[in-house]
Amino acid sequence: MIDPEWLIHAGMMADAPVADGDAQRLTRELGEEAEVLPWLLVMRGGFAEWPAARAALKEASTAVIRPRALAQDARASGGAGQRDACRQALLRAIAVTQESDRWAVDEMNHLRQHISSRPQPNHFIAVS
Amino acid sequence: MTRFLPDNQSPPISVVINTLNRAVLLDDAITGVMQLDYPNFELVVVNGPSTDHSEEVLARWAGRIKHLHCDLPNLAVSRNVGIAGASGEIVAFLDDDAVPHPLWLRYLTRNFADPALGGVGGFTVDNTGQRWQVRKTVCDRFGNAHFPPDSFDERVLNWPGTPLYPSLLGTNASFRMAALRDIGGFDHAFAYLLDETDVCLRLIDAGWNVVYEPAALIFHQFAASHIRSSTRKAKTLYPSVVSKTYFINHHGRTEGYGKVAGALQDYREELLRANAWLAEHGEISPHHRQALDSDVEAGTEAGMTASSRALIDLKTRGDLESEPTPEPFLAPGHPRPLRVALVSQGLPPDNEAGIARWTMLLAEGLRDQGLAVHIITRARGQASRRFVGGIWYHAITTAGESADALAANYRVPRAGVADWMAGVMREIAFLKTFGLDLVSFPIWDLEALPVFDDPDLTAVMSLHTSYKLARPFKPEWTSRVIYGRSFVDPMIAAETAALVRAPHILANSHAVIDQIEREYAVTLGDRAKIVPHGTSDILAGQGRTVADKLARQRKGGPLSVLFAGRFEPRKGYDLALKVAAAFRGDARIRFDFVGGTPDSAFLDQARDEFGLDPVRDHGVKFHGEVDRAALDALYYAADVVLMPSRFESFGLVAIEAMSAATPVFALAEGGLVEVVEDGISGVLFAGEADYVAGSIERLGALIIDRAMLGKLAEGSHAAFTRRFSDTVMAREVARFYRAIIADQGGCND
Repeated sequence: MIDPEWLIHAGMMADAPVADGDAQRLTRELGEEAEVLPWLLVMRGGFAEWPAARAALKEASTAVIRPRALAQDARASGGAGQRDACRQALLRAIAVTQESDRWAVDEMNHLRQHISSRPQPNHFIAVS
Repeated sequence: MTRFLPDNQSPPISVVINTLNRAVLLDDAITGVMQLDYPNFELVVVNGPSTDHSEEVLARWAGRIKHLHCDLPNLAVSRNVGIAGASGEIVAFLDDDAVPHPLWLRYLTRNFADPALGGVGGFTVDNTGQRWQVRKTVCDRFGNAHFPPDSFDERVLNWPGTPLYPSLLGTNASFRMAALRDIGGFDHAFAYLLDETDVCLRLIDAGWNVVYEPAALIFHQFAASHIRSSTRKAKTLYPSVVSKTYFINHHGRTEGYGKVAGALQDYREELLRANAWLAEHGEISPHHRQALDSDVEAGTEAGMTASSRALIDLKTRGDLESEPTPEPFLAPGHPRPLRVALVSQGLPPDNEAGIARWTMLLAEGLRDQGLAVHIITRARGQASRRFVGGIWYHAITTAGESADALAANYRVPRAGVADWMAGVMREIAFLKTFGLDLVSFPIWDLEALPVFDDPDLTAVMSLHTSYKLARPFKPEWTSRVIYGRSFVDPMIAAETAALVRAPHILANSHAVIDQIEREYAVTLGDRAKIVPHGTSDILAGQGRTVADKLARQRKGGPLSVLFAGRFEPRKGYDLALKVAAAFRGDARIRFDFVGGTPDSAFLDQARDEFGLDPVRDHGVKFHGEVDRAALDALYYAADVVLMPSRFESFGLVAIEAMSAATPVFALAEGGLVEVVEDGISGVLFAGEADYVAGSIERLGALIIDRAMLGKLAEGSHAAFTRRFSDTVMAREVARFYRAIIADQGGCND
């Protein structure tokens, strides 16, 4: 919850004054403190007197992670990647060296829902 | 091995349910069997000696099941009655508190192609629907169970005289009829427990094979019985001790008499120790412990007597009558039902929001139309799968590990959308093993969006309020720049993409289609089908009639006006407050506001802007959020419902009001124009100013003119029955689903 007094002070600092009567409503509307700076900057035209700071903040606000590259990767090779991970897990299981290692057949049962085009219902029930 | 036997080679199967005082769950068990995907089965239910309403439940299935009786509370006797009445080549046993996976019989029977096979058992899921109760079990000749890993091959134990053998669970066991007759069926000495273990051992000793089929699933609910409570604490140990003692002394002799004596001693001491532990930890009372200890002594004596008699009689066979003459095979005679999954994060009674309530009503209605229905919803605690009242409930959690790819592929926010979507898709993958045909999900949060890309499933997206339609009424989505740009904007873009791609769309009004086509710049065309929302009849639910309401209204008393909705601008609560303010101090009328919990800021606003002070003005009451029963009572008590919503895709409140014979004063916006018939089921007002002034004028008139009020009440309920009942909605939606499945060349029941 945002402190209304703090919001009023922040508005004064950013050259975007918040009226006393609006502060209560705005604290509810904005919800959390992280939303205050973008709101002052974008919605209220704050920091107009501080062009350098304003430019830096605008640049920072556009530097968000874009999922586009990830999407291309997921479309092209997502299934193959998952299948390869399953194959590696099976190879590890084949080389059982100690009691706590998973056995290959159990591992295959566990992984089958990820790599089979026709999984069986028992593959969806938790083992433990 | 994933292939099933072809239909024309699938052997006829008799599913046998033995029931005793489990009427509450029996109907679901039978419904589950009736939804089996198998071409050639009958259901035999052996009841008795029940003292509850099991017979009434069974009477409802008359003509579709074989209904037999058992006079003794003895499971082995009841099972033999079932076998004697069964006409199938295979007999599959299911408990009365269990539900089968639809492909249960197909998975079991693919093993029976081997003529040496006498029995096949599946794996059994516990009452969470998420974890195993029992998988592979291997027993020794004293009836002690061992649990090998799934990879253990039990076929190596199939030889006569084996010290260890696969033992099937009674609620998930199938046997070849010829094999059962070969060994004489079940031994009546096993009134409860080890009856099926005894059969498995005698089958193997007679040269038959018994194996496990891991994919043949049963969902077991563990109801209370005459033997144990629902928490699995024994009410009595006597039948179990008789069975176990008999088993040890009957079958254990192969291992030597010294080992028999040791096994009997170990078993007795284990039970007495367990009883003492339960009593010391407060799990059972001292008196209960004493009774259980007495059961151990008496049961041991009875078991020894019976097994000694069996030894003297050289008994090796069960007690099935030798030449049973069952009635002809009785197939239920209907095709596999259309299987649909409805997705809704919330559900009543925890969530009474529009989508949640619509989903629940639709599910019940589709079930009544003969469809197999699954609801995928958000788990409030632990995830679970349950079959209750003929509907599967899948309460699931998010699947964060699969969210990244979905967030990237479908350009939706990862937290809160893609992670939930991934959980939904994981459950849909499971439901595909059920033979799922169709998935319906709401546009809000696009919960099952990846189904569009699944060639095995038909996808229907239902239109409700969307992010884009709601945004004008959510100022915080604009003020919160981070939230708006990282969540709301991507959601609106994803909604647009989904509307472009959706193969089938279910809408509740022309208004919502027009609005969506305009706002998103898309054309829905023939992909959209309009089926108005429906709801249950509040009057009928309260055991009342329209005449009751009219009689109450004729008695006079203050005119009762209701506003039901959250205090947000879209709902037009401010217009309702203005109307209420106009009647301040007038004892002939009262206003109830329900749905939103007024905080101090809201009460300040009501006082400062509208002059309403609920503390002083007894004609206005704010109820806050109320439960369903209280809301229904308020609908019935109301004479008029105010619904000044600035936009509703449909307006569920309006038809709920009409179902209580309460007319609606609505703003002529959005879907309400199609719901409220002006002058018949309420009044439509063209604009906000008209709404306030017109409502004040009309309410003032209705305070006096009770005949007009009665006419509107009658008109409201008649319109509801004709157009908006839950039955009408379900029938139309079922017709829509069947039509699109038929168009795709799929099954159409």
